[in-house]
Amino acid sequence: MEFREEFKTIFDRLRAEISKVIVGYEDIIEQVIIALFSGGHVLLEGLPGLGKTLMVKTLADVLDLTFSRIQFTPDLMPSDIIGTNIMERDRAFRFQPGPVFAQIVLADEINRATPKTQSALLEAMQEHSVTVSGTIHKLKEPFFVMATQNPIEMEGTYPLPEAQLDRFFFKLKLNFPDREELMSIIDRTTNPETPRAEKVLNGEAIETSKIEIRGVPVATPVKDYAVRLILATHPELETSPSMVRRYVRYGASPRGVQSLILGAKVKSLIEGRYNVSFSDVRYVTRPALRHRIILNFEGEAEGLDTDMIIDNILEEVPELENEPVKP
Amino acid sequence: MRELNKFISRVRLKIRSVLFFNWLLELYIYLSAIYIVNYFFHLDVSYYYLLIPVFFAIFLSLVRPIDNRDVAIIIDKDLGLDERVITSLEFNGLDSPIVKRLISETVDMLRNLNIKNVYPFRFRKRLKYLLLIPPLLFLSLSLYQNVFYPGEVSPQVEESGVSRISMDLITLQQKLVPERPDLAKRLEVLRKEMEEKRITSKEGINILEEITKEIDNTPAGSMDSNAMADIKKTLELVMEGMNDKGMSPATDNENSRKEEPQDSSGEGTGGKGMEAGGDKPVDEEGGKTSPSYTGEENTSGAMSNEQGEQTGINEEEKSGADSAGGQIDGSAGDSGEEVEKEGSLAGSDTVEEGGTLPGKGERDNKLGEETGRNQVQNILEYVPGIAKEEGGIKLKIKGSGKETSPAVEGGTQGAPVKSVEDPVEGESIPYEYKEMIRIYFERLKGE
Repeated sequence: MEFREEFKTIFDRLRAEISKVIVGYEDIIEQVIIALFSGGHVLLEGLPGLGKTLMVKTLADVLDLTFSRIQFTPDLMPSDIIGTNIMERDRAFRFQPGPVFAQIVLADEINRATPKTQSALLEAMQEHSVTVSGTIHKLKEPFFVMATQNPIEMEGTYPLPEAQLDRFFFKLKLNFPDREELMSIIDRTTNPETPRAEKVLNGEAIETSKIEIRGVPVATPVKDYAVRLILATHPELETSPSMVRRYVRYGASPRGVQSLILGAKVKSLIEGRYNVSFSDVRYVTRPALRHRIILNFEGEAEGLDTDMIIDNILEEVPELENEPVKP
Repeated sequence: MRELNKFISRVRLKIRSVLFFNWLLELYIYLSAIYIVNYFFHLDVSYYYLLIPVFFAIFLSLVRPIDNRDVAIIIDKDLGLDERVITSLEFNGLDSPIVKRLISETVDMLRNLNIKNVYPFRFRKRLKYLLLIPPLLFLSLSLYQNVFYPGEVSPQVEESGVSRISMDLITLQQKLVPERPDLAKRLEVLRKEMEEKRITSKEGINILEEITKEIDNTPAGSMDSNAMADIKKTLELVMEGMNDKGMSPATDNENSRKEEPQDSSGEGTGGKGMEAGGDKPVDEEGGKTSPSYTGEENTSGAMSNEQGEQTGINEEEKSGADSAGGQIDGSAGDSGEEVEKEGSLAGSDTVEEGGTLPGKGERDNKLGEETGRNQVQNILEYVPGIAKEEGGIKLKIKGSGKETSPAVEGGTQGAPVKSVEDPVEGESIPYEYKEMIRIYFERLKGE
């Protein structure tokens, strides 16, 4: 079987197994899988009770990977995450790995920990390694962090710094389920038999797929489109849309364009193609850029959302800079 | 990959054909503008020019570079191939199973797709604006004509009409010279007046009608009947032509005639007066209508009666005929009438220039100046060198005779003798007239 068909099968099975437990959120599930195969991390944002934690736990269930959950609290210390050297009976210090040494890490309510603790994850997320007492400890691949945060309870929270946010491949927003989905939630969660997801994929298959995915070709006009989208988020550039210049303080970093292209590659395979199209790039633009655009005071005061800015950018930036042959 | 390139080449050809038709249409729009202008101004644009856009369109559609990448993007876009063609083209030759699979898959898809859907014929954006040019141009030029030349042909058309009539008149003159040189001379003057746009076509036709009458009244035997019929026929044709063309100066002249009495409402009345302070001083039309012509002005006219008396100038002519249409109303009529009588008594029927003394005050208006119309009127009666009646004018031909005008002999004041050759003298004689003039003078000598 060709890789494309193989991948499509894996993806469909993953989605089907997760959908057994999670009601709705089909796009969110798809984007989580895209981030997983792209080698990125996901920040889930939503109101309490929307199933953020359940989604991560379900994903861990369907993947044959080690899973750990870290509940972030204000008194959580970095060593509580990454581990520490402990003196044992023979009076020798030995490294005791923290919960970060798992393949799927759920950082629940990440914005409740202090910045110091939050930044303990920086190295782990970017380098897939942890340095303790001068010793670098490699994390086992695939390493996938899924953090959750609550957008309304701001008291006693520490908003993630831009550097931390930039490490997340996607930021996904969970919206409130609609009427039919709520009915379905009742059926699935209040009956004596609770549905359980089965394991579909192991770490090795994920790693192989990640390599294959990177081989998907991207044509120059598509890359150019991704680059122009990123540049359009920068308010200091005259070519940016007027909305960006007015309401944005900082635009997306180069990690943004990496996210766009890698995410688009996975999306193209999901769509059954061996090449990336403009539509793939557009599909991943919102989750890839919404946490990388920082609004200025005026934007905040106007109650704008970064999604509005991204929608405006997608409208303003044409796929092709110049029409190839005008009649 | 060969199939992909072949498909791209076919699409490129189609793109060029669309470009060609767009260019062709655009160039024809420009050309149509030229033809519209030609329609109004007779620029003599040949219909061979219609071929020019074809060559230019071919050139412009071929000169534009269209590379494979551009074509690939167009194919992807028009056939909804999600950038498969451009990616295949870019990554062609890469040793990757994914790329190879992509190319074969793209070629398979192209086989099943119709090239008709790629780059369908469409107009370039600016064409919709350019298409407005011909109707707008036509409308604006029509409007221009209607506003500036209402009910008339354009100056260019009119010019050509006038020149054609002039040529007809020359032909007629040539025919008349052996038979009736006097009428030939009248035609010559008429032609000049028309060329200088000093008379209307109506007036021209009137003159021609008079000439026709004179020919009709020619005693039998004095003119060759064939020549007479030919001349009459030509005259009819010329009149017909003048009727058709409706020369525009009519409007201008009529306007000027209407305006002149108002202009001449100042106090200056003496003026030069009518040059031919003649025996038939009052033009029938000249005495007509000018409501703005006030009694006061007439009074001023009357004040110059004495001068008219002295110089043989009819005041009414000055204020009426000369200034084209001013009517002397009842309050002032007494002086005008009187003056007419006196003027006619004192005037000379032979002197062409009845120079007058200045009237009251400085003359700064055009009252009394000779207008085109009056010249025509006078010409009708007093064509230089052509006697109104037999023995009426005695001609003095430069260097050829001793006879002088009776007016000179009679001692008419102040008027220099106007000899018949004056209209000819000093003018550069066009080639076509030379023979005619020679014959004319030969005949005069004979007489």
